[in-house]
Amino acid sequence: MTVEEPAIEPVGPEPTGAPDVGADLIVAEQVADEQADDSPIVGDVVGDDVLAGDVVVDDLVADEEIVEDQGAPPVVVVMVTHNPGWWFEETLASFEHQDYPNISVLVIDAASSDPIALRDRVAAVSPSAHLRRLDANPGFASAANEALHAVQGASFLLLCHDDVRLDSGVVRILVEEAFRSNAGVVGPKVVEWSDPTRLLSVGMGADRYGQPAPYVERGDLDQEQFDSVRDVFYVQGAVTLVRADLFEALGGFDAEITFHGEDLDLGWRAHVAGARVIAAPSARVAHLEALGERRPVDDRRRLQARHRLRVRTVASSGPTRIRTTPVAAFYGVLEVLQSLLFGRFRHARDITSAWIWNFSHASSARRLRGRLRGIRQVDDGEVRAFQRRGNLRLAAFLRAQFGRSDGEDAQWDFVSNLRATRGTLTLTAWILIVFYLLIGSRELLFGTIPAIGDMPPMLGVGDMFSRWVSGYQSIGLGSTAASPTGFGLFALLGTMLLGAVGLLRHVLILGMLPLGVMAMWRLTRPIGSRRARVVATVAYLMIPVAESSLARGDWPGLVSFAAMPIVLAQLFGASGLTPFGSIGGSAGPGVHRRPLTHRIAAIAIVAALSATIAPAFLIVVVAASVVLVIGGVLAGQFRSSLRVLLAGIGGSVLAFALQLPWSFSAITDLRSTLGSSSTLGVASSVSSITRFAIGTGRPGVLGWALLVAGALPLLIGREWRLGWAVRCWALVIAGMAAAWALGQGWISGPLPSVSLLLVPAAIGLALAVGLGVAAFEVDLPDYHFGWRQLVSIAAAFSFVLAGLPALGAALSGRWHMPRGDFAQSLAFLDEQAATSSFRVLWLGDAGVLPLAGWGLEIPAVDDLGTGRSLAFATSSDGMPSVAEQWTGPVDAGLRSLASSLEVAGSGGTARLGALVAPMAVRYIVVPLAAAPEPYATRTSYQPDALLAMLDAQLDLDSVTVNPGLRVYRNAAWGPERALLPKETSVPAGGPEIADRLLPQVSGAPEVLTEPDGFAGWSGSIDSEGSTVYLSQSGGSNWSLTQNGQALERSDALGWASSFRSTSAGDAKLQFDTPFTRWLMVLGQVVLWSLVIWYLLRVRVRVDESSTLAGVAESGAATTVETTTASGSGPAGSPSATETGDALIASILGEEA
Amino acid sequence: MKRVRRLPMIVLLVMVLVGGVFFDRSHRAPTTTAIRPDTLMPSAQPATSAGSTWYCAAGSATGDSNGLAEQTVSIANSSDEEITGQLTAVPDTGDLVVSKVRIAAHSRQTVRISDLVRSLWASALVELSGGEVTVAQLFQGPSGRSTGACASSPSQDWFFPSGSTRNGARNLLALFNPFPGEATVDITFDTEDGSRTPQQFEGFVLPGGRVSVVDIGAVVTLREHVATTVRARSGRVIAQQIQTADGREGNEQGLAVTLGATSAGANWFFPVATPAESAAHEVVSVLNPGEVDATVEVQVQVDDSALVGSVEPYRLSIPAGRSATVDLMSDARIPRSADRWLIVHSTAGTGVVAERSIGSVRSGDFGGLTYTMGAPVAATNWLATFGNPVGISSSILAIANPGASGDVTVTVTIHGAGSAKDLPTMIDVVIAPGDRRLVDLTKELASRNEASITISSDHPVVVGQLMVSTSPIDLLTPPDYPLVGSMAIVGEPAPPQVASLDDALLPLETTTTLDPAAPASSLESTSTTMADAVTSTTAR
Repeated sequence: MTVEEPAIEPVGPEPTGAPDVGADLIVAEQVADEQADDSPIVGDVVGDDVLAGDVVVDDLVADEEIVEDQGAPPVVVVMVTHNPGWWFEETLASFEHQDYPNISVLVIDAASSDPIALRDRVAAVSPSAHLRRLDANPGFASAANEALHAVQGASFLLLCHDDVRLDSGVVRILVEEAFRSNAGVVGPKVVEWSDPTRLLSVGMGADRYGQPAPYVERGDLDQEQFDSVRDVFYVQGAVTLVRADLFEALGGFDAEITFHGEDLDLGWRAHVAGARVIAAPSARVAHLEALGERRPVDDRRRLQARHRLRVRTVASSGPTRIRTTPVAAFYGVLEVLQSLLFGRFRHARDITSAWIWNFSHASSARRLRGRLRGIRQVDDGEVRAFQRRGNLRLAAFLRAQFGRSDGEDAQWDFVSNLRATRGTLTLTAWILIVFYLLIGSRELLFGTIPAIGDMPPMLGVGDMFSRWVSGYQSIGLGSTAASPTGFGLFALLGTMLLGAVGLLRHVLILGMLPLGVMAMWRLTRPIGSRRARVVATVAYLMIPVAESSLARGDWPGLVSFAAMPIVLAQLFGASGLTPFGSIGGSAGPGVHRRPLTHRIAAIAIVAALSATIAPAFLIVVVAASVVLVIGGVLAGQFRSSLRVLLAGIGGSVLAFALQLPWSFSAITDLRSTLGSSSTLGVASSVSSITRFAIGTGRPGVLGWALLVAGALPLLIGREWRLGWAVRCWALVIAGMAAAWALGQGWISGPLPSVSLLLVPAAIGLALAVGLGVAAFEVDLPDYHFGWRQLVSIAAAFSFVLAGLPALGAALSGRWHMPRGDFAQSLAFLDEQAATSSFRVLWLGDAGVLPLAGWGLEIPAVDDLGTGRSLAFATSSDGMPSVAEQWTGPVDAGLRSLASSLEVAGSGGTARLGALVAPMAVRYIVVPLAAAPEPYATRTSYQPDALLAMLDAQLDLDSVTVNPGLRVYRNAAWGPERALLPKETSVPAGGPEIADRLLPQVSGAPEVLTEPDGFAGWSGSIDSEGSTVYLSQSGGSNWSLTQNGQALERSDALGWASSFRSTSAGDAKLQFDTPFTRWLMVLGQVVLWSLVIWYLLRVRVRVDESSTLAGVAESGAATTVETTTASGSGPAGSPSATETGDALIASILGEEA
Repeated sequence: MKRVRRLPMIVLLVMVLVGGVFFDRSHRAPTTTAIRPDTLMPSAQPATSAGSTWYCAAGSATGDSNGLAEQTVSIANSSDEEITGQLTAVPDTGDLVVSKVRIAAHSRQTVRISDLVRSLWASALVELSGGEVTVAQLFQGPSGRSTGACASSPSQDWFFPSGSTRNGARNLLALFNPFPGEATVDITFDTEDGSRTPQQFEGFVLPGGRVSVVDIGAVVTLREHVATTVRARSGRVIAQQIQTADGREGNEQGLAVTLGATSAGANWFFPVATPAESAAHEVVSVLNPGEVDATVEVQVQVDDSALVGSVEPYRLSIPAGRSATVDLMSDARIPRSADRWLIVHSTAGTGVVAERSIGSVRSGDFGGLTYTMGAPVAATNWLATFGNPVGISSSILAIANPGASGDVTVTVTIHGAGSAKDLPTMIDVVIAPGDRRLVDLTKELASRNEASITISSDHPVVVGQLMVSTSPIDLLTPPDYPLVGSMAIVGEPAPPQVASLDDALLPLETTTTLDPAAPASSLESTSTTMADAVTSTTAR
């Protein structure tokens, strides 16, 4: 919106047609004179070392300068420089060539490393310039503020970067416009250094949160379409003409703002002071934007985020801050979450550190606000008239156009973008993908995700954190094994969501779908063909792996769906083979050169995060790297095999280390750590495996169509397309073969679930389909017409056919996920848990248990059908939660429980209830499907032998609940903390059944009923001489104090504990976490931090070095992109048809 | 960069596809889980088992000789280890009583329930610390003596194809719920008048830890044939039938206590049958508890068909939910002079339950009544509980090879007095398919009341016993228990015997011809029947 006449009064002396005719440079060093005789020209030398920043007072020089004016108001060019590059002479020369008659140049050397060279360079081009050297580089703002002290008498200051090139009339035009518009701040049109026909900015807008909004599209062709003077919120800081008195009244720039944001600060405060801020496009300045070349790190985003917050805090009045701060914080949290979700950890770090920095600099902000209050001329409401409405960052994200919305008609940008990209394959495909995911997930998005399979409900943040740091776990019969990293991770994420753990569960489950698709999109980027990318990504979505994982409650499968493309991208990149590298050709778009250690670290982070939910993921990563090498061998390409293996194995090993100490359990008991696998009896044939038909919604014969499409690159591909197609098919064959063997029950060792095995196959197939498109585009034209063309048509037709089942899958709105879980049917468990503590023993197929369990081999009862395996697990006090998401090593307690089940299963006892009574097992639940009837009939099975065994137990009472599960109440159960009668002799344990029995526990009263932190209880023991029996593993870590005295603990039944009470009184039971556990947790945090730090650090350095290398080579504008186009890809100069790619890239955080 | 090779992957892909299809077809996994044999009949735990539990449904515990069926529990330990445990007597009224038991290796111990509790009816729950131990019941009442099996597991379903409430007969059904929760059962009766569930037996509630005895005759009055089905809606029970007959109207006289069958099966084996030359009445009753009509053949396996010829099978068509009986003595099809055994085979695999009754009016040294549930499974190890109860004049052990092919080698071992020894005449004895071997244990077991028997073979066999008691006069068919882990369901039983041309010397009078025009004993009208009117095709 252009404001012709802002209703504000400028502050300070108003410039007139007869301005002050002189500007006194009271603190300056005239470079040319110094160069002439190598000594101060006039005045007293204040210090000994001129080059060290000592100053020379030179009034005479200033007077001589002033004498030269022709009545024009004096303008002092204040240029801050630091280690300027090759462009510097050009910059200085542009000042010399200004047609403005009354101009002086003050060069502020912000501690360049070679001051003498700098002085010589300035003197060589601009001998009349004055040089002031600073001891250190305080940043542009502070350095420019030196003008407040060094310059007197100037009407205007032209604050400049040292990488700008002014057209000859810039200063004149700006000064004229300042007078004509009565403006306090005037900025020019900024264009690219190397191509002045490309626009960078013509004034800037911003919202109330300080989010900039350029009025022109960066890179737009300058056709003078924006060449009208208009009010802007601020002008880009490359060249800013500011009235000297205004600058002084404002106190200059905010000194806390080092780089990035000082221009916004100046413009915003100028508005508050009642000054107009004007863009004068007739004045044209070329800007190299070479700041990044001189900075040791690329902290641009961090500084921008930090300083935007700072500016808003300083320039807004109190009431405005009260309104905007919570909103800004909320948006910040959202942005952090989004960044974390998309793997943009640096971005999340930047946002977080921005808030921390501003909190720590609140006092200086307060001082600045006080100063601004003194000169405030307008209230925030009037300033807001110059600001953009809403939250530009959020709006930009929602409109998928970061950095595109500028100008007053921003609301039309989206429409115009759509127009511009109409027909763009990429955008259309992504719109359809998003629409497909939304339609397919609609019921889950806005409803409840049932707690089936591996998707139990979350616990509170505090509870999960306590479990993470505690040395005690409640799984099984209690365990002292290291707690899973997942507790810590979920607690952290839950905290970031302000404790909304339900939302966290939604995000971590449903978010895997879009995350996997986006990861696939990024994986395929180097292929270079947009059609190939789209087809591969869509194919990945069409393969029903994720859908079936959701339907079966297979969270590891979902996580693998999202994470495996990222891992494979790193493995591909590690190979360095074209197009994922430059070996054998040119690298494709988006390919970054990374050291192998960086690849390993990246794989480790992703694999470690995935292993939090799917421990077997690490095995799959290693297997995938091996298969890729085998595929390379089949393709006749051995090169880089070692790098791929090192990346895969090294990444897994490092991920394993990141999961320490939890992963240590895998060394001692790998089978238990991985858990029991089950295919639910469906994925047992070649027919179902090759169609990825492992879920409830089977794709039918059309499921094979994608295999036909995927075969295309094997038939018509050449060069790298064929090579990677062979590797992809190696993934397909290996994944399917492993899944098939697992489904057949041929492999009894610890294995990942079938979905984990099929995900690499799905990626391989989808990528093969995409490579087929690339081959179609590049290779097919080289062939004569023949069968290859027909095969291509058949592949295309197959691809279309393969999409039909996927369309059908979305109709249910919940990917065939059951509409209910056991929570309602078993609600009475939670109700009873409120009055007493007990365990629920879960028995049945590992695939239908709503918690993680341990395998159970009892020949008489464990035949549950093909692909199913008998497992057992326990939950404490009712329904399982995420606390039972992970199993642990089988300890003495679990062995005792398993042994009891084996005895009963083999017909050795009809009193299983009595055997498990000391384990506080009150209920035994056997789910007959993943969800109760009528929701999950396809996953149901009939464990007749198991049920017959339980039915035959004399102390188990069958409870009618739901046909989808069988529930038995243990008539002999005892509470977890039971008070046994006096003189009760608790067996210490032994091999005989009698050594495991504790008849006195049946019906015993519960004691210590008040929870006292995690793994702690308190209460009174009124019976002197009685025995407190504790059915928890943990041994000597349990302590019971009564009346301040520790009671003697004894081993009970070989795994539990008992305490002999000597008197009546209050008692407290506590698990004492060993100090080593705290150390291990701390070590884990440090290790994660180190790896993440390394990952980001190396990435930044490599990217920066690439960027700077690109600048040096081209001598042109800086660019982030260091890639070269693929031989077959459409990469190259931007075009209208690539807008969709850019939009998607911006959403996905890709560096375009 | 080397040239990329295309062919190896294409070849591999084709090989994988072909191999996958081949393996998939040849290794296609079964879609349903197999039926566990040990669920089909009471079975003994192996020696390695940590324990055994046996449920003896009910018997009289009055301590009075007038008790209808005074119950004695017999516990036989065939293992090398001493077994300890407890016997819980559960009376129909009053509190249960627990008694510790200790049975030495290779010995047997009996417990009179009336020594523990005194009540009209009482059940017994026997929990033991090891395997290779069996528990059975011996009943004594005014009507006679009987042996009965105890159950090794409770069940939701119990089937009794035989039974009668005719004049002079009493038919009682004992239900024992050993669990803490109550059980609800439906009791259905099938008689010649049709099938029905009396209202009082619909949703019949049996409290936990209780025994209840139902007088069927009070509800289903004066029916020649009564087949009973017990189905639990909730819970599981043990059901046992107590049948008495006083010999009125020329019928048999005696006491027969039978544990029901828990499951239907396609094949039922009766290794012993009425002794040769006997005038006893032998009836096979078949119940079809399923929802599909069944066609059943009753095969009479004559021991020496080369001499006496073979017998055309009796063929029954049994509608769903109905029962049928075959009176083996009603015609002259079966040569009276030949020993024989029986196979009841459901031709379409439809599950049925078969029970056989042998009854005879007491005359001389012979007479009595016994009901025997067939064996639905074969096994390589069998345990026979009783050695030689007092007053037994003849004790026959029958071992049959029910398979259609393959000889079996059998060894019989007698346990007693703390040791075990193989029966000299029954060491590695070979039995041909469809054949059987009778072992006369009378002398071997004389005065060894504490003995028990085990039968081991290299391939599954079926085992049965028949004892003739002279004091009192009665017929007993002691239960035999297969050992868990050694059991197998016989897929295709031995085919009906067909005399070859070499049997030309067969006497003509052994062949029998029924009147083809005669109604198939009109199953609809009488429900007692009946073999299809099949003409004899016995070879000449």
